[in-house]
Amino acid sequence: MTTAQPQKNELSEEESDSRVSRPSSDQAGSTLAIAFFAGVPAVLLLLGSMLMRVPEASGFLGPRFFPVAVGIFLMVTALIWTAWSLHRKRSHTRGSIPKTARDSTADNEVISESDNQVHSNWRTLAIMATTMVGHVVLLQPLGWLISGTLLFWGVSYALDHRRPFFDLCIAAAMAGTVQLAFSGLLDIALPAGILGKVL
Amino acid sequence: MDSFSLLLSGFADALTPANLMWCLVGVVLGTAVGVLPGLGSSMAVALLLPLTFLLEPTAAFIMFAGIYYGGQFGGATTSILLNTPGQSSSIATAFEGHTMARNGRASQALAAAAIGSFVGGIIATTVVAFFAQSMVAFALDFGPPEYFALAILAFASTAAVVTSSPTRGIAALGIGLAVSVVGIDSQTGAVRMTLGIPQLLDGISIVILTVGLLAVGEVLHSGFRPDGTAGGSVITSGTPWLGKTDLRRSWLPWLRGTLLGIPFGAIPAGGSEIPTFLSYGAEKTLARRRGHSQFGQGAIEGVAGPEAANNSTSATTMIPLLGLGLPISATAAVMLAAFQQYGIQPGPLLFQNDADLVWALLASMFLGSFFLLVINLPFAPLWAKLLRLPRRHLYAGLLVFATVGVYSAAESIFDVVLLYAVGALGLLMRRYGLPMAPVLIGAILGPLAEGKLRLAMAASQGDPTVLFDSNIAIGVYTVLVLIGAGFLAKAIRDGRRRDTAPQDGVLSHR
Repeated sequence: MTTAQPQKNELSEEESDSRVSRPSSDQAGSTLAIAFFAGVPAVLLLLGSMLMRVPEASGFLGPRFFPVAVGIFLMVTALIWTAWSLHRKRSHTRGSIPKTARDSTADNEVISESDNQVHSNWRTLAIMATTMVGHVVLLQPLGWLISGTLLFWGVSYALDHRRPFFDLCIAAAMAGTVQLAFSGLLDIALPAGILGKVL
Repeated sequence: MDSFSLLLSGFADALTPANLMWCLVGVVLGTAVGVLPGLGSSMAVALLLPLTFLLEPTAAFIMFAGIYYGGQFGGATTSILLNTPGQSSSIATAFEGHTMARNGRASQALAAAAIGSFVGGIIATTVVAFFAQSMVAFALDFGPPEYFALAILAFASTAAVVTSSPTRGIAALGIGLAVSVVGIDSQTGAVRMTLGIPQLLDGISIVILTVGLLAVGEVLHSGFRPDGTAGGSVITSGTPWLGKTDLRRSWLPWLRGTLLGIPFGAIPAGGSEIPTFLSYGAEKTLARRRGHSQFGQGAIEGVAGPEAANNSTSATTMIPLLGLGLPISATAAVMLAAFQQYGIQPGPLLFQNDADLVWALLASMFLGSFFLLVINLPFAPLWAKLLRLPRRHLYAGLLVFATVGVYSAAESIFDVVLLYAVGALGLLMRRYGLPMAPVLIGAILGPLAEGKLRLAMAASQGDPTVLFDSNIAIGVYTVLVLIGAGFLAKAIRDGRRRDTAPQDGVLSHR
């Protein structure tokens, strides 16, 4: 793919937020998601503050004050967003184009995609997530060289799986270079794992 | 002109071939470490600190100044090329800089950053050299209420000015503030919001949050883009060098950024995050007012301003460090440790007791800025070639560097898990259009705001009027009210426009 076309979609998140998603932001799903983003930490903060063990001498405005204040702030934000999204939803059902409602998953890039691409997106993401979980699990037992190679290879395979062997070579070279740079130049030990016992 | 002759003698110390070489080595090493995501200038200084102890004090600090500036600039390079700021002060640079890189203007962004760093560094170092002692006196006037007012101003301006959707910005700011309370409360020792996980007792590190949200989130999100599936695609690096138009657009932001940055280094208010974001916001507002804003499409002003602000703040951070013995940034804290290692106590008497060392250090800060420009300007197109890598390798490499950078900081696998979890949050936030900057600002300045508020209230026995009991604080709140009023006016105006054109401007309606 050439570069000219994708650039349009890749504005910084700040701008794409206002510029591109503005048409989609009036959809109930997106606004509800933001209410969710604000609501979950709000509940965590308020619950956490209630359960917090406060030391006897904690002076004026103890350790609870700030979390509770932020929690209330977030809760109010979440409630406003919920009310707002429900309001939108109602005005939508009253009279609007059903097509936008179907796109309510809200991301601007997703709107233009076919179902097939959405499917491949999920596949890409699943491979990446598996790779990352695998890396964390294997880092200690297998060592950096192997798990780092897997990390690099997994992500590049997820994004494009046409040249897996070439990618594997790059991945191994990359992990090796990082190992050398960190242990040789910066004097930071990366986990040696099973290779450490062999070498 | 006493300072001038002292500075000249400092230059005499710093300009020996050996010291010049140490400065150069420092800049190169600093840039190299700074380029690794997750390893900002503080990390560069900390990692290379043992190396400097092999040298005598003057040479060590000269190398230090080089590492410091090199690390600052390395952070800008990764921000622009990979959207991965190694430190919080490079976050603002990433917004427009990375967009520029995507538009094939990476070299220009890098050059604007390099020259901006140079301008900011040189002007601010001059200020430090000549006004350090009087600025120490000004900084001593800042008490808890003033810091709290500054933090509130920073919150309001990031939520409202930096992000284009204030309502989402507010939600994001709240998330950042929520993150900031995780860990042991520094004033009472109470354990807060750790969910019983012992590794969270120290809180969530800003490095993990930054790298997770911006880098890992970006890697994960790349899979969600239509073009992300075509991993073989490349971004062109474009023609090198700044054109005349770019220079004309950059020189004022450089100077404005520098002016914004200078005072923030002198007052201990949380490092260079506030001035970089203020500069970004100011340039954005000015561009909008001029009518042909390119913000969002890679505005060079958005790189030039914050980078100049960043470096000028870094330079003036030396004022409280040298004059008060008060380290403002993590980097300054490491440098304080280095001073103590040599048996030197920074403080009001330093300028008398260790004048030779101080002036050699100040002179080498000039040299460090100069080397940074000389080394990095020719390399800008070379760095930009990094973008010719196949995208799948770029993203994979990004994740590898982010992982290894975060792991090596504390050699903790839990940190990597946390990094990936934050990355997942970053992915979700991207999908629902929540801005990242307010989260980071909330997390960085949350503890400052909370700590100062509680100190102020404790000092006044719970009387909230103490918060408004100084001219500086009232001045800051006045600015805040002005911003708020301007914003409200804009919202009303947009609302009116919305009435005439019902399809547009949904978000500005509240």
